[in-house]
Amino acid sequence: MRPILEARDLTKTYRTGEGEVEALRGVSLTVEPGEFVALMGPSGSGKTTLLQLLGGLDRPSSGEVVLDGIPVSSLDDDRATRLRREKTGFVFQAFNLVPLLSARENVALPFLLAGADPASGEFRDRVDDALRLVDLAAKAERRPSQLAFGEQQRVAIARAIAGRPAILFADEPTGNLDYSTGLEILQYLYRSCAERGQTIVLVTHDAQAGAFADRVLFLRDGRVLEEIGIGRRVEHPARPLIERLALLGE
Amino acid sequence: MHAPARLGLRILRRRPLRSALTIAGIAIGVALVFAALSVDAAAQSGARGYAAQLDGRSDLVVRAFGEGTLSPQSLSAISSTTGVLGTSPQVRRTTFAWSVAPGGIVATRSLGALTVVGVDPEADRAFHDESVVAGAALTAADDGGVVLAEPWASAHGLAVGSRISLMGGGGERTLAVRGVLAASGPALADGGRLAYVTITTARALFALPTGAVDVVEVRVDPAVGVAAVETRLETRLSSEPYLLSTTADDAAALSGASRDIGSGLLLVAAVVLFVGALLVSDALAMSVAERSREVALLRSAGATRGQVHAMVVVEALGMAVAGTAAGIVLGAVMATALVPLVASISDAPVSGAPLDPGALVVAVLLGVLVPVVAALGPAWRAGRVAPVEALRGSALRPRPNGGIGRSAVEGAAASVTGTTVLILGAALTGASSPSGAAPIAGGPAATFLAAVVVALAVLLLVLIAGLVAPAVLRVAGAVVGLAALPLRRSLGAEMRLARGSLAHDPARISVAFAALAVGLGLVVALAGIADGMRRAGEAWIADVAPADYAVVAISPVPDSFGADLAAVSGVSTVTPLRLFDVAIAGRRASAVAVDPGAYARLGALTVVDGSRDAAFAALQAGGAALVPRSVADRFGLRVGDSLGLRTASGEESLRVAAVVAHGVPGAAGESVVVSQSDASRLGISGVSMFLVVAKPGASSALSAALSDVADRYALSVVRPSSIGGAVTGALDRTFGLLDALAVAAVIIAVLSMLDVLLMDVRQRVGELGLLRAVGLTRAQAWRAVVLEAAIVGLAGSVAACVLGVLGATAVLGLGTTAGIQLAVPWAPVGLALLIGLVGAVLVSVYPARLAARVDIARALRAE
Repeated sequence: MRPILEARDLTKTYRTGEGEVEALRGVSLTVEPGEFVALMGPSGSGKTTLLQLLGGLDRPSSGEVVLDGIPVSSLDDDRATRLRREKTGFVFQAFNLVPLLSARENVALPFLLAGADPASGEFRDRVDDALRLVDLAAKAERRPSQLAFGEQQRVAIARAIAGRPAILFADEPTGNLDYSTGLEILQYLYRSCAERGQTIVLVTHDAQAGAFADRVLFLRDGRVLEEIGIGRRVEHPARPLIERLALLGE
Repeated sequence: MHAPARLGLRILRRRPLRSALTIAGIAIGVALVFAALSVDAAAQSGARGYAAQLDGRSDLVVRAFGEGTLSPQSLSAISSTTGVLGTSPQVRRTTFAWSVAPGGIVATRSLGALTVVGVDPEADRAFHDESVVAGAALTAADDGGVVLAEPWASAHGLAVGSRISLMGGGGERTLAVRGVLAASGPALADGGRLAYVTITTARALFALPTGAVDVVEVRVDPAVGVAAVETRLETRLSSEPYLLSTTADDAAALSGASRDIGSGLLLVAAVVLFVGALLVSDALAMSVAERSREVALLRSAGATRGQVHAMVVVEALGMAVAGTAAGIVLGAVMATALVPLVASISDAPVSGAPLDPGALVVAVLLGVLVPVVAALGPAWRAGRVAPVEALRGSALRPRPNGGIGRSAVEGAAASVTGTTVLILGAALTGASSPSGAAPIAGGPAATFLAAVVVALAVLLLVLIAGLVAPAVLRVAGAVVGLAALPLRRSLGAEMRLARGSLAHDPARISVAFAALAVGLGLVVALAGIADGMRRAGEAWIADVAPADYAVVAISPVPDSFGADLAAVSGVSTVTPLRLFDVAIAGRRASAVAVDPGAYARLGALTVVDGSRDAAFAALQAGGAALVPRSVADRFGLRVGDSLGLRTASGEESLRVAAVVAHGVPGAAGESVVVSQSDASRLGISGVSMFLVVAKPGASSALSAALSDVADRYALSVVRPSSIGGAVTGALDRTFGLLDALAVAAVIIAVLSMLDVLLMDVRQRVGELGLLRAVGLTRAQAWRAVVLEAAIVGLAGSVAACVLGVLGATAVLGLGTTAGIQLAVPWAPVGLALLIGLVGAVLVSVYPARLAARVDIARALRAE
């Protein structure tokens, strides 16, 4: 089966006032359809940078990203934007929602941006379906400010999956949440993967979150240091992953 | 310098564009004030200098009232009044001159109107320093000689030895040019169209009685004082009507027109100040809100509230100093450009725009004080930030519907402070003048009151605009949405984002909306008022002079001249009018003598109280007068009342037969209409103007034929509309000047919108990053910002048009000239809509570009 996402020898260098900083130094990886992959590593290891390159939010200094068979890095901005809109979904740690739109409108945002009428036919069904998946159908008309933090993040997940993207990228989605709400969010992500075959790439520094993934790629100093296979499980005990990470000095 | 204060200055450098915008706003306000005060100072200085040159060493001038003269007894009474050191009597009358060929035959070439000044040369030299540039000065014995002013003489090719012929009541008199005076001192009067002769020659020329004089210049003993002599003269001169004026009065009269302009300039400047103060206050409020976490860090690190206050005030002070410096330079340029405009309106010469120290001090004070006062509110709020609250990120976030009132109040406080400085400064500058007169009509107290009323009215408008902003923006959004309906598929997302952004936080944008509404509203209101007054002027002239041509005399001519005009081929009727001065209840007024039958047949005058037929019949019968509404209001007259008219030659009591809408414009307002027979009993004869009606189908050569006849008598042929045109021309120049300044308010408002949009984009970088991440293209981001600005521009300009039309209606309704109806000034309204929409779209281009170029990865990382 063709991988849904492939990264080939990615590097990313930032220029700062004091010189250049290499955030990524030749990262290669593949993600299979329906797979749940976690990117872990200490602060500054390059995991968020890698996610942004994989999702087409930024361009690598060298290397190539191929998403669903399309080389992302060579696309111009408009094409890359359309690719993101059609093939990807994003969940971020903060600023997940547009405050001036209701929960339903936030979920429908990718359709609205594509010029579709999110209130009609298939699009409305998709939005309702996504809101049901995260148990927020009853609060669809509320503004983000009227929702709890956990609910806001669930709206973000609904938005990310409403367009039925080829791949969903989540960057520390539980970072701003308490333990139990964070687990709830991870369960919703896992459900979308297990029940709908949604491919997910999750960035986290939390082993408890990483344990929900099928596979963990551990990064350090801009390189993939270790790949840890966990496999699909109904329960998500963190202990085995923590033990493996401990061996890596984490 | 303390650390927080240093931080205040660094903040300016960190946000160079926003700092530059606010500095530009301050600079425009300061420039406007500096230019207005400098031009006003130049006009006042010009008027004072001009009056001083004209009056020479005289302290008081006594003038005969109307066309009367002062008798030798009055002259003697003046000379013998205690405190009078000397007098110089003059005969001063306007007449016509012709050049005379060397052979002594009167040429047909008219030299036009000329003021003949008959003087006692010895007495005159005690009052004026004459500078003879050619020939000799006038001597008492020189009965057949004349001395001319240089500009007029050279304009007509006259030199020493030339001869000119003058027309007077005593017939024509040919005089030889003995000398030419430099264009200085009294020779500046009447544009230099002056002919000095001996007083004896002048009396003979105008057939005046022996010893009669028109003007007496008076030198006063400083130990006694001008006021004391004025009082004594008022008791001693009781037999003849006269006008008494000091040099200061003359300067005030000369600067009257420019003073009105100065007053208008300062009131417009007050509005601009308000809009500017609003911009400064809003910019600082946004700046403080943006830095709430930074403020909290400073507070948690030990900065006192006072130090935080200092940080914000120093930031404001930095912008104030830079803005003031730029404003002074810009103001000097503006003043130079405004001088010719004011000179075209002023009666006295206005040249240069001196660097007036008073104007400089006032402008610098304003430029520094207004931003600092506007900063006090934001500084106080910054000082109140609790470190914990700010670190949570909740402090000082803009609250929906909460910002406009606060900004308006803070802007108003700064504006009132500025206005106070402005008025006090202007009053002090005026007080330092020799006349002691404030440079603002009605005195500083009246103008201060007017400025405070203006500031409060603008405050009210801003508050109303702020309150209605959410609703108006929603409606404007819906209108733009409807207009863009055919493009819904391609613009739907951008429209939703733009409208959502406005609905989410209307307070953020309502300041820009209000500033735009007030600035553009001012332009529309001024245009509406000017248009109303212009149309009223035209209707007025059409009502009182319904003729094809007006043949105008500079001084009364015999009635018989009308027969020559009537004989011109193509002329249907010729109706004579005679304008003259009268006193009503001891106050100066104007009157016009008409042939009632002929004037009635023209269809002239609209009777507003009484019957037209009965009124003209009463006029024909004699002993009656038709009173213009303005005169009836001024003197409390009604139909049937008795009206006492007094001239130098007599007094008549007439019955008010009707009140008419308008009267012929005279020297002292609209004229009371009387019959020629009643006028003759008041000692008034001759004709000032002939109204000529052409026969139907008269050829276009009629004007030239009339001019041929008119030239023979030194009359001029004009279209009645051009009389109105002269009035409306001056009106257009005045309002054009005010409009130019109102545009400054619009520029500041547009800068304010740019500032708000920039701030908006910066505050929403995270949101924009998110939108871009989930599929918003760069073009969509660009269009969303431009659409948002377009909605605000449309809403602001529509509100401006409503405010402007309402304001103009109120001003015209409250004005002293009753009956002016406002017609919606469509051209300015259209222009305001265009400026609002195009201006908003243009200033949104840069913020939209920033929004489109948001670096997604960096935006998400930063958040």
